[in-house]
Amino acid sequence: MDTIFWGVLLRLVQTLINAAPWIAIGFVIAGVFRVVVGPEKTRKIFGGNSWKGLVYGWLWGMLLPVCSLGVIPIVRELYRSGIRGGTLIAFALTAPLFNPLSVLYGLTLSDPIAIITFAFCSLVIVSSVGLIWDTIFKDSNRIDEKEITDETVEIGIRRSVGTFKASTQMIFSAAALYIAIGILASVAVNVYLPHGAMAPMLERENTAAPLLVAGLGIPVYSTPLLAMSQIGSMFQHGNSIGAAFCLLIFGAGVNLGLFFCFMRLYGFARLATFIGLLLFISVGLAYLIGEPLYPEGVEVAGHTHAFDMYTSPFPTKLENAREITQHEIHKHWVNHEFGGTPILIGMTIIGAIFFLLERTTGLNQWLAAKTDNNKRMDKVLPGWVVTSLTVVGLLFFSIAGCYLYYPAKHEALEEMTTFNIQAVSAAKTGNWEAAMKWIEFQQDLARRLEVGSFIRSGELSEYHRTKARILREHLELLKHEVEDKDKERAGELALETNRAFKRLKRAFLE
Amino acid sequence: MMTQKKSILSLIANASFLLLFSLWMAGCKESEHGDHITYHHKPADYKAAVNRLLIIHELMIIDAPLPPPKHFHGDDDDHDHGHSHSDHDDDVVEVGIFQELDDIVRWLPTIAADSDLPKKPWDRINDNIKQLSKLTKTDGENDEEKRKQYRKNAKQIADVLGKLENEFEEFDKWDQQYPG
Repeated sequence: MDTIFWGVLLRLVQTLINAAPWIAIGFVIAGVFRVVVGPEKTRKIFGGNSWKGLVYGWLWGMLLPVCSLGVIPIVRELYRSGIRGGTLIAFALTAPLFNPLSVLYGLTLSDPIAIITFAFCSLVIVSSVGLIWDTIFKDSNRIDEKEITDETVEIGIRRSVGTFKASTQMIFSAAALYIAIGILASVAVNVYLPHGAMAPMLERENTAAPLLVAGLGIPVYSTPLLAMSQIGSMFQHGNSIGAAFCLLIFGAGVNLGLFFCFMRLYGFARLATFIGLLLFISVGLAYLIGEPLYPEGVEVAGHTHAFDMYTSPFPTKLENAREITQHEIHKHWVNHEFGGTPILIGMTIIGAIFFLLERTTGLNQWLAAKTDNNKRMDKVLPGWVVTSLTVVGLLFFSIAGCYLYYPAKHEALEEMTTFNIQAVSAAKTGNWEAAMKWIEFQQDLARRLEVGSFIRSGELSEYHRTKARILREHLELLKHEVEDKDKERAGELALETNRAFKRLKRAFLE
Repeated sequence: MMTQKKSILSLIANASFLLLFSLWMAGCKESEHGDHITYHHKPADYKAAVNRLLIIHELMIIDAPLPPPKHFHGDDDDHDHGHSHSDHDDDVVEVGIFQELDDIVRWLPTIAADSDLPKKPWDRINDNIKQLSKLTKTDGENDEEKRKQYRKNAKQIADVLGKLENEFEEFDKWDQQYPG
């Protein structure tokens, strides 16, 4: 019982840290839609009530950087603005699935055609589910446009304050409850699934693997980047490709919180239709593309670690679970926290302060007030200018984000040299925890080296990809011996890994 | 009030259903850490791989029966048999000559890259391996049919194997440049 408690706490904190930045962004975007854009313009930019809504749904979904939890406040805001159900579905599914960072990462898979096919199939799913749903439920735009309240605020400082107020106060709305459901359901799965339980179950030969992952993926939460790295791992280990596809759609694309949100907006019958369509089309496609996309020449590993983080972090009974939990939380914070959690906490506190200010000051009246246009110094820009600047800005930040996240080869190799020294010396001296840490850093950076080289030069030769794959294979073998704490074998593999890294470095620098 | 209560109960019921359904689909037990599959017939380096391909080539073109499949055990005991074992371990793997050929050709680019060879000679080797892969592809129903298909391309295969063998000097050169 003690081990379970600490396991739950660890997974809860890890999930919160992973999700926090995307959730914060989701609330900010929802606030912008409410206060800056307003319901009428929102309906316009999402294509009105026509079939074009689906296209706009996925275009905006591709541009906005949110995960399947962060999309919840935006979905509620779009519903409130009178957007059709099919368009909402297209947006809600596309936003977490399509992310320039994660798509580029996926392109380092042994066969880039696989990720392109995954992306295309995702579009097919999103479009067909949205289209069929809209055909069945023609009245999905349930809100009478005349009843929608416009809470837009006048241009100027009022608008900035109003947007911030709306974004932060939404944290106290039902959106936060759905987000909590999404996170808790994911943690509940972690408690239920014993440590490493999924490792041998996702092999190519297991024809039920896609179905298994689809079922597991529904309650489980994953960020798009994490899902893509896990998919990469499944390709590398020769696991079921159909299962990898289902991990993308269900692991990264949806969660129980999003389904709950949908159910409250549209009712259980419509939610069931949505889930049924999603399962039928996605799992069907998974079985169709599984064999054709199976990578040639890969050595079957017989297991996968892709799902270890969705299972209990500890084996059945652990004596020092508390100490390990504290240590792991600290490690996860140091390695993965980049400001998202403090920002989300800060937004929550500020939202509470805004509620207080509403009751004790004339804040709402001030926000609603209109000033004389002639006395204002603000420049009013046409709507098309603002929209264009927004789109260009989003694209720019996506590209800049990619260049920041995927370093240039010299920078990556410098850091990898340090990781290599640390991993090799830790493995040789039997410092297993340190070895594991540095091996994982090195594996991650080896992938990012490939992408960083590709986006800067426009190509990555088969020679360089093979060198990187060899290093990752050596690291994987070393990781296994470190897990088994076999000092002699770990020492031998550490030397081979060291040699593989030096060869990779020479290859990329020549 | 009644409607609210019903709504909350409905919410809880639906939540439980969704979660239970998902967990039922997942349901599994704790697993030991999985071992990587070891391929006992994987050559140690490029020279060993090409030399083995040359031997296989000879076996394909001479007028003698093809050797029986090799048996590999979990204890790394790799040997040829002419008889069956009744007391075999469960983890015996049989690798026929065509399987071995396909595997080695498939592994060869990676084996060649797991060395100090620079890009230019590796690209050259890789191009030859791609050609070899096309020439050695067979789809016969049994080994004799596959052998017939192989023999049709025997001369071209020999040429390509010769080119791959000529690259041994490159490996020696770069091994000396970066010893250990």
